[in-house]
Amino acid sequence: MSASGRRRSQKYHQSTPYLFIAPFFLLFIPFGAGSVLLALGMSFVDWPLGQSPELVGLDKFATVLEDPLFGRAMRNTLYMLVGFLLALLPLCLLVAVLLKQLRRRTANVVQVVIFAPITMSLIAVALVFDLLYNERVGFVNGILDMIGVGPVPFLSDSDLAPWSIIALRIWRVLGYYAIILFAGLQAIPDEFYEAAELDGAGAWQRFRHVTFPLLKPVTMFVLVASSIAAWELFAEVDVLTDGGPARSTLTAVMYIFGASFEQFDLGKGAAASVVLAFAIIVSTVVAHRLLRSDDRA
Amino acid sequence: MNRAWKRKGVVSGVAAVAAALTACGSGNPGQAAEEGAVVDDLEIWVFSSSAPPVIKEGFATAFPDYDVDVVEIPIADLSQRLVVAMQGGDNLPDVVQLPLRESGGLFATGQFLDLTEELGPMEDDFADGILVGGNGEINAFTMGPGNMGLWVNHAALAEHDIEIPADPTWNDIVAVAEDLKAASGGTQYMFVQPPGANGANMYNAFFSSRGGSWWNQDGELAVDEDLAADTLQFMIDLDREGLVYHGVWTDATYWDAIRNQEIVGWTMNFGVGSTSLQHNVPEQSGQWRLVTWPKWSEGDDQRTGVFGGSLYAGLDGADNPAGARDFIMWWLSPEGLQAQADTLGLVSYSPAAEIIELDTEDPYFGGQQVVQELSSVPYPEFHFFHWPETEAAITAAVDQAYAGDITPEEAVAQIVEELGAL
Amino acid sequence: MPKGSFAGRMGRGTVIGLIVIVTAFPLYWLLISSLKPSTRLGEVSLIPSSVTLGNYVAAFDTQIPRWMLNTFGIALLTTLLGVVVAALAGFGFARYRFRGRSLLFGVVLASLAIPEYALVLPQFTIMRQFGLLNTWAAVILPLAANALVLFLLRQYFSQLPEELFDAARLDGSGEFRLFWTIAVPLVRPGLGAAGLLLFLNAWNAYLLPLVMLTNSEQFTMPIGLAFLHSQLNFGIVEKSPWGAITAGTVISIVPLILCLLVMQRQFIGSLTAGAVKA
Repeated sequence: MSASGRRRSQKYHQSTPYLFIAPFFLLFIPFGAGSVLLALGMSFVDWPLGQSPELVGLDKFATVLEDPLFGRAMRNTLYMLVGFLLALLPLCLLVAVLLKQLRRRTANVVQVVIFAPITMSLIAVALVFDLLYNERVGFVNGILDMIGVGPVPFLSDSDLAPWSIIALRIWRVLGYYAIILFAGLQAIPDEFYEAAELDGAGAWQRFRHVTFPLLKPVTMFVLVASSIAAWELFAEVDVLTDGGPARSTLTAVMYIFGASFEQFDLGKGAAASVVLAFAIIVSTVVAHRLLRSDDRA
Repeated sequence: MNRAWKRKGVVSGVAAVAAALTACGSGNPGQAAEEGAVVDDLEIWVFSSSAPPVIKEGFATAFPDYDVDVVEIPIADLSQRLVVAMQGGDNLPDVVQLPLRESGGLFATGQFLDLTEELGPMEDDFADGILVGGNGEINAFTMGPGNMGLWVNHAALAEHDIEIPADPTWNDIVAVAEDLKAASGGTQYMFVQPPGANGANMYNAFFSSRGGSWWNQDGELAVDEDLAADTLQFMIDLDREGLVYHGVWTDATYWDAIRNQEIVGWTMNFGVGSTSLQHNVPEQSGQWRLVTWPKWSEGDDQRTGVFGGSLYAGLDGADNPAGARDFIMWWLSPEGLQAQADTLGLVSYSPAAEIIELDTEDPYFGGQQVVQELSSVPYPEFHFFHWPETEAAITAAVDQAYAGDITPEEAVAQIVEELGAL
Repeated sequence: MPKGSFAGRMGRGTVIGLIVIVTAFPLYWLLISSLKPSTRLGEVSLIPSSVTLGNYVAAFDTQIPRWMLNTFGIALLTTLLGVVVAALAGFGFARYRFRGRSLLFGVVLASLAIPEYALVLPQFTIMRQFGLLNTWAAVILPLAANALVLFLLRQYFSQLPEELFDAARLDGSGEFRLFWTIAVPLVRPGLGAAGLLLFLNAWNAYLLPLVMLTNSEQFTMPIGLAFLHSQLNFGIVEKSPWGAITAGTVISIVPLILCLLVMQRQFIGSLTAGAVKA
């Protein structure tokens, strides 16, 4: 990105870059790209269980795109994605910056605590949040009751359920992304801050002119990683609401799972995956462009 | 340190990882197929943790020639594993244990062992709906059939001087629930409605006990829409009257609600209704009774609702079909029937009562012969075709109806429309 | 290093304190759940009315220790292999211009867009071709080729000023030496983050081990716990699995926390100050 390409050819042998990337591709070509290609292929076939696949062209795409349930699932996913990202990104930037300013020991303790949620098994997550969200005996409703609110049907109301899932998701990944951003901050040499301070820059200005631009590559990474994960939301919904109530938390991957492994229509599942992949790629490229043009301005 | 040394370090590091991988690979068993294709291997996939010991002790002893390999798989992942095995190549199990509800779609693919020859002549030994299969075949018989009953904490009712009348109808039970609500100030319940798919299946249990079904035996849509709407209306009315506890037995809080006598009655099958109840709330031993599934009105025949069950089926493409047949039929031998009774409670094979002891008195239920009474009620003929889609359609519509967004009639129309589009 | 005014420090402390409390609360709930007798699991109270270590005993009674070892082995090997290949490739993509660079990188990133549920059958087929079913390699190799980790490390390497490398080249250093002695030390925090990502990803992996490893001795923690849990729905258990699940989860968090601390101490928090004179 920042590297200039002038006079490169004289500096190193032509094969050098390929040697660097070769080990990764040795693994990626068979186990990553290979399966992606097969999955693409699967979207053009009808493949009844136990029989041979048969080419059907774009039929499966037509089935998927005409299925109102798929539209519902994509809209739900996008809705939860937007809510999730709008809350997550500022929060984890904030936490990362605060971590950097804490004493080393305090920062370590804080990191351990905020990192722990993502290490918890989903089954246990479901247990704990069932107990916290529970309408009748849940802890959160217990507190709300004390201030005269509620009970709030966190998981059984179709308007609230998506937000309950978003809250759970943020709780789970906030620390994880914050630590990745924090690692990015650690790679910014202190000299930059010292220079800025000498210039009399305040906290906000230091953030605006040092932290933010230098952290941009890592922020970009977090944005891409968290939005792909949000597009592919499945596990938390699967254990907590199973897509309900009234399909309000049915997600795209849940639809794909159902098509492939419950209705045994692998072609339909693969076609839905390709449509989802298209949405992911388009949205990622758009986000990338937006951030870059912001850079030039 | 010089460059060569460092490079060597990295290279040997990578080599070590590669060597470790290979070592892990070769250290694991599982590819016995290469050792000269022993036909006597028998691979059985199960989701129930009570099955492996029974299979290893009972079946493997009766058939010592088979080298039995029992593979445990979480129930939610079973169909996924099966799809991958069936489409991905040669790793098919000989036998799989399947939940009854998920079996319809699989049997429709025609990839399962046809047991018509074995089970066909025994048709009269099973209630209608117990023998299941696809494409005109019989692929399996249902085990631990999901006969529903009304489980009642009669000691808790007696504290309010309330009693369930003999041979009750649902109206009688609703009257009891109303008395209980009044007596307890709305803190005790006779009905439970779980959220999500379990809720849809609860509705189905009521619906099937009235002779309702979504699909006929040929897999064609055949819904008595009035009956379906009327049944849903009944359940929603219960909710509106405040007679329903919302929760599910997999919740940790559920058993507390039973322990605290918030839940005083609930409709359930044997597995959760008896086994789980006895395990989770042992201190209420002697307080509970089974009321067999009430009738809808005085003159009606009594019929139970169905809540699932499980079965074993063999795969056509697997290596050892003879072993699969032997295994499935073993469950109908005296030892197999006893094993069914021990692990699942109910035995769907009607001559079983003459072969093994089934009329045991259960002290937890005050000496009531729970298994016997539960299986004495006729089983409904109900067909689990297209079940994932059907269950999803019912779940969504039932959710909306409970939320008051649509009427029961609209809910049923919505289900029928969705199923019609399949 | 704490900086700034007293008021600023107070404000920061309050915000971070609030976030820590909210995050820690469900963890605390898990911890007390693992200490409650299973018949008191649903009790809603900040302090449990009775405490037992029985759940931990129950957890060791299941195959949980075995599952933990499996998971740990798989995660560790995935991390080692994954960091090495992604660091090399990340450097290659960040520091060189070569034919096919954008295309190759684009393809790698785009592969992330296909959800794993669509990939599982192809992956199974491929592993069968390689004869790797039922081996750890079938789980480790796909997990080690992690496109996100490559992306992360490329971002780090691309941040380094080219002048550093030009100076070393004038001294006659080879390209691999530039990577190893100049670039790698400067992106240590990135390597730590990458290691964390890989370890966590392998630790939490569900679908791959589920499909590739077929018997319960080979289960990883997530699958084992799901198996214990799935027994609830059928009412076929004599013994509630919640105790083993909660205690098992608490135990299984420990290796990940240790992993974090190692990454933290060795990499993330350890940037040698003043290394970059840009």
